[in-house]
Parts: sequence; C-alpha cells; structure tokens
Amino acid sequence: MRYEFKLPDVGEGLHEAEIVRWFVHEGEEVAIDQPIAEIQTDKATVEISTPVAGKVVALAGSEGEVVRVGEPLIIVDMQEKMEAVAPYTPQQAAPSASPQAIATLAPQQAIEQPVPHRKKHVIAAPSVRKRAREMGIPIEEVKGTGEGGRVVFADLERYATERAAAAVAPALETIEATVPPLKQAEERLPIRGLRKKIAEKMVKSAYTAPHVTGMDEVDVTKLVDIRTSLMKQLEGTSIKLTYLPFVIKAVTRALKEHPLFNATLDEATNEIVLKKEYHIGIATATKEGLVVPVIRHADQKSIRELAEELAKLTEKAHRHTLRVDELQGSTFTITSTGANGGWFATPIINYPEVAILGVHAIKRKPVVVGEEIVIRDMMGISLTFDHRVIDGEPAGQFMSAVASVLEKPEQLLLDVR
Amino acid sequence: MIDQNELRIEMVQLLDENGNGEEETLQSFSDDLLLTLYQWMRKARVIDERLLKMQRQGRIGTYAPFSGQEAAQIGSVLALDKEDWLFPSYREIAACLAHGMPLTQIFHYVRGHVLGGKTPDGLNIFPIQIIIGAQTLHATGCAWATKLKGERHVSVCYFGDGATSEGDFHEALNFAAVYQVPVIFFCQNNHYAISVPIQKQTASRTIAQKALAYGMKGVLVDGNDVLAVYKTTKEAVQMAREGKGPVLIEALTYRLGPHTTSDDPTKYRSEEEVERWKRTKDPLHRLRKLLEKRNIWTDAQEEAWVAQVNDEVTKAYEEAASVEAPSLADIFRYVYDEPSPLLYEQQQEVIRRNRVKEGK
Repeated sequence: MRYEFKLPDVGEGLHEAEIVRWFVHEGEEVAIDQPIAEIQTDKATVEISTPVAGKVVALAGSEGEVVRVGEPLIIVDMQEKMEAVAPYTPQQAAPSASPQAIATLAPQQAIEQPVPHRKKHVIAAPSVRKRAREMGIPIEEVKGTGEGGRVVFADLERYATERAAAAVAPALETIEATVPPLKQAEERLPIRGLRKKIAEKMVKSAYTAPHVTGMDEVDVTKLVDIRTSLMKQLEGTSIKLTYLPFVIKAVTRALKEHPLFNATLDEATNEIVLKKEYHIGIATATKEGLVVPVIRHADQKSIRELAEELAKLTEKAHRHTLRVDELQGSTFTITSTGANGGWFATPIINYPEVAILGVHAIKRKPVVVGEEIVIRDMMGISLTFDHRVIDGEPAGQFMSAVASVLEKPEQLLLDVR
Repeated sequence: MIDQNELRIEMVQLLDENGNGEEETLQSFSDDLLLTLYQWMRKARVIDERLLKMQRQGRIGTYAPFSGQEAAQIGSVLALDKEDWLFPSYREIAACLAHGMPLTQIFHYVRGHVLGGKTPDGLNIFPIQIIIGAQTLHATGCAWATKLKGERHVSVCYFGDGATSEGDFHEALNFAAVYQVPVIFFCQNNHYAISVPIQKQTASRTIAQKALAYGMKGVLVDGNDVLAVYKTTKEAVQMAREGKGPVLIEALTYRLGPHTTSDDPTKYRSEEEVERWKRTKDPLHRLRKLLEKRNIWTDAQEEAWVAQVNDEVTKAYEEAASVEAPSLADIFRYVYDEPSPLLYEQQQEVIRRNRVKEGK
C-alpha cells in the first residue's frame, strides 16, 4: 500500500517550504519517525520525519525546490498493512456530530437567507457614526477603506464630496477639469529608476563611511571681481563663465597638495587607494534627480575649457544624453548648491570616494579685515570626509588650501604654462 | 538605600552536573524515589520528542516542547499530594502527566479537540493556560477558596520567566501574601520568553528575590537538579499546607528546543549556548549517573522503558485520533458544571443553526 505523506503546515499559516536537504533517497527503507528531510519555511528550518515505515518510492523534488503545503513530500510503499494514519485537521465544528441533536424541526431555510431591507452591518467608531449623522450621511452607504472595511472619517469626506459632485456634475461637466483636485491626506510615489539608484547610493555611502563635515567662510571678493571682468571680455562668445571652473581649479590644486583626498577605500583589501589622476565629479540637479557627470583630467584643463565642458555636460544631463563613461570614474566630487541653496550643508560622499566639497551662495557680508569692519563677498563651503581615512586636522588643511586659491585666485597664474 | 547586590541568594543544588553530591543528603533519597523520578523524566523526554515529530508530520497542531525542563516539572509535581491543585501553562505537559493527566487528553489538547480543555473528573488540574501569567491569579483564587473552606490542598502555579513581567503576576503574589493563602508560585526560568533573554526581562538578579517585595518566602533552585527541585518543593508545600503562606520558587533551567513549533531559536541564541546546556547540564544525565553509581538502572532497562513509553504514545495517539471531532455546540459544555443562562442560550442558538444548515 502506498502512503502519500503530504507536507503539513508546520508553523501556523504556512503555504510552502523549500527542501533544504534530503536524509533519504528513493528505494531506501525508512522506519516510523525516521527523519526524511530538512525543510525551510518562512519561519524556520525544521526536520520532518516520516509517520509510516516502508520503502521510499518517490521524493517531491530535489534540494532547493519548493513544495506547497498539502502536496506530497514523499511517497512510501508500506510493506505491511498499517492502520491509516489519521492526519491532524484543525478541529472545526462538525455539525452532524452534535450529541445534543434533539427533535428535528421543520426546515427553516429563511434564517440563512438575507432578510430584505435588513440593515447592513457597518464597522465604524462611534465618533465616525456621530459625524455621519451630523453630515446627514447614511453610513451604510459609505464604502469603508479602513481595516476590514471599517468606515473612517476620510470615507465620510469622500462620500460627501462625491455626493456633491454627483449633484452638480450634469450641469458643470466642462468645468470639472479646472476644479482643483481634492486634497488627499497623502500621495504615494513609487521609488524607481534614477530615484531608486540615488536612494541606494546614498544609503550605501551614509551607512558605510563615517561622515564628518567641516565648514568655513571664504572671502571671494577678488574672485567676484575677476569673474565680472572676465565675463565682460567673453561677451559675444557662447561661453558662460560661472564660479565653478575656479572652484575646480582650486580643488585640483589642493588635491595635489593633499593626495589623501583624491582616493578611495578598498574594503576588500583594507587599503587606501590614492588616485594619480584628477577626475572631478560635478553634482548636477535635474528634474528627475541628481546626476554626477565627470570632468576628466580637470587639473590639465584651463578655466575656459572647464567652463565649456561644464556647459556641455550640464546640457546633456538635462537632456538625459550623458554617456556612461561621462558618469563614471570621478576621484573627487564637488556639489554646488548655487545662489539659493543656503550657506552651508552636510553633503554625502559620492561613495567610494573619501571626500566631497560643497560650495554655496556668495553673499555680501560685513567682515573684520585688520581693525576694520568692511563689506566683502563671502562664500560658504562645506567639506565632508570619510573619517575612516581622513582625520579632522588634514581636513582643515585641505579646506584652507581650497580657500586660499578662492581668496587669491591670482595664484592660479603660477600654474599656467 | 537597599541594594540588591547586598542580598545573599544561593542556588539550592544537591546533585551536580556529574551526579555527585553530599553523601548524607543523597542517602535521604531512596532507590525507589530515584527510579520514579528518573523514569518519569525519561518518559517525559520520549513523549516530548515524539510530539515534536508528530507536529512535523502534521498529526498534531502547534506544540511547545519542554525538553530540558523535565527536572523542574517532574521534581516539583512528584513532591505534591494527589489532591493538590495544578495550574499549568502550555509547556507543563510533563507536570500534567506526572500529576495524573492521561496521555490521551494531552493528545486532545495538542490536536485542538475541545476535550483537551476538559480535565477528567477526580484530577485537580486546571485547564492548560495559554495567556501568559493569567494562571497565577487562578491559583491564588483557588488557594484562597481552599483556605476559606478549610481544606488542606495546596495550589501550585507554573509559569515562565516572561510571566513575571505581567501585571497578573504582581496581583497574584501580592494578594496571596496579604491573605497568606496556600499557593506555590513555581517559575521555570528557562532564560528566554520566546526570544527575549532574561537580561532584558528583568533587572533583578534573580526572580526568587521578587518574593521579598511581596513579603513572602522565595527560593532559587537549580531547575535541572531534580533532587533539589523535589526537596525544595516538598518543603515549600509543607509550609503552605501548614498555613505559613505562599512561596515563590525560581527553578533555573533551559529550554533545549524552540519556544513552539513555529519558532526558530537560531535567530536569538547561539548554537554553542544550546550545546553547552545539552552537554553539561542535561537534567536526565546527572540523575542517570547517580543511578549507575547505585547500580539500580541498566542500559537494558532504559531501552525497555523507552520502548514501553513509545508504545504508550502510539496507543494514546490512536485512541485520541479515533475520537470524533467535536461539534460547535460542545464548546459550551465544559467550562461550568451548570451552564449559565447566557451560555445555555448561546448553545441552544448554535444547535438551532446547525439543524437549519443540515436542513432538518
């Protein structure tokens, strides 16, 4: 006689289980209660033993395969005649077994049939029922969206609005489009595509590298003058000169003096990898989210070249035409929050780089120069660094190196070839 | 200020992990008593292992294994009189059996049959409690009734470490101490309330010391030493019976298996920890050592005993499985001796509806 041992629900409400390991094979003789398999359910990995003895004729599948609860796990050929094993079934009421059965009554099917005009059973809190009465809403007509069909306040609002809309709809059909959408308590936007990538990258960075951010104010009065003057000279050309090319120059100069900032951390080998090339990532906001195009060999490019390349990359970012190689390989990243982006920030490192520089709005501010208070053009900068690799003191030095160029941009002349 | 670190709390232990102890103390245990204790523990272990397997075969419902806690349960129950009242939780299958509950009823219980909650007449065992700690109140109430009626029975309430964080525990112990009722609160501290370790359960160094706050006696006992559990419980029960008030016993033990068949203990405790308890602290192991030293138990006897228990389990299962499933109307039958009018009315309604469904 063949006995089909069906996979039981071994953990309260399971639907399936994965076969982790077979302890028996086809053709093997098994004894009662002998372990036959290890299975993994949603809750635990458990050992299953056979309720009958005999020869295994079939197994449900190979290791790694999934068996549904109620489907045969193994089939055993029982040599001896055995009493059928009574399977456990949750003890539900078996009406026919009632020992209390008393004299039979006439069939009363009517009890089970819905009574006409019978009040629908509504689940709702007393406060909701009260509000419904106040609003003149028959609560049994409201479709509940709460747990188990519970009517909640929002359902009343929706019902009232729909009722109002229905009342005016025939007359005002054409106006409908101009009516602002009803205010909802919340709206759900799926995270996917670029947003998802950004989310993943930020999480990886924020939870891997211990972030420390230093901030400083830089006197860029001279830089403002120089840029204004250069812009005049560039009039008539297509070049749009921002402050960013100067910042890039200041950064690559500082990176050369402080090689630890142009690096990545190789977690696999536990080594700091110093990069000998200077590819600067520029965090660029687009409608869909942040992208970071890369200016390769930024240290070898002139201010003019940087300005042209920046314009090109920004344009491509907005048109989503950046090539993969234009988005990869940065060794250090700059994020410019622009005129309206606040004075300081705590940028998140473009992992696996080890630092990121935030450059912020330029404001005219009173500052102390010598013994006098004067008005200067001041810019806020923020430097976030990976404290596994970089300590506070070198970070301070790096920031001053950047600030020094921004404060005295004429230094850049020294590097011109 | 009082500091719990000033308390001197010693754990009662008569038999160490290798089956050694003070000769004089051990001699006070007769061979017969030792054999009874051991046979019950061995029997309980076999039954527990069979039940776990049967759950994995789909033959019984969710089950809470007790392997590892046999000494705490068997040692305490065998220290009682037959008429003493038992208030078990779902893990006290061994205690229930040793106090006289038939194995078939255990099967009814684990198969979800309504008869599982119906203790046979003449047995003083309350229905197995699922609500954590609720039975502490039932036990206190029963002990109070015993006192008022002038009976000499003691109520013994079983619960775990997790239950001591429940409000019921506080109310039950406080009331019991104030009214000096004959109740024993027997806490099996098995180190985990499902996944919550004892360190997160209470800042008290021991559960036993909580007795002091209620003005009752407390004692900490090695819950894997069946002799210590037996002797401690015997003394506590004696005191309670003599009207000297309730006692809180903390039996330090360890659950070797999962909390229930739906639990995965590897998620909250290490394999090494479980192995350590299995290898060095198994309650059966140390008593077996003692029996061997006295030459009163052999491998052959053990084998025969295990086979006999296995037969018992198979027979009890078959008997229970052959009992017809209960009807909905049956669920009203066993709570009260005489049903209350409301219950009666509900039962009649169920019977009427059944008839309608069957078209009679």
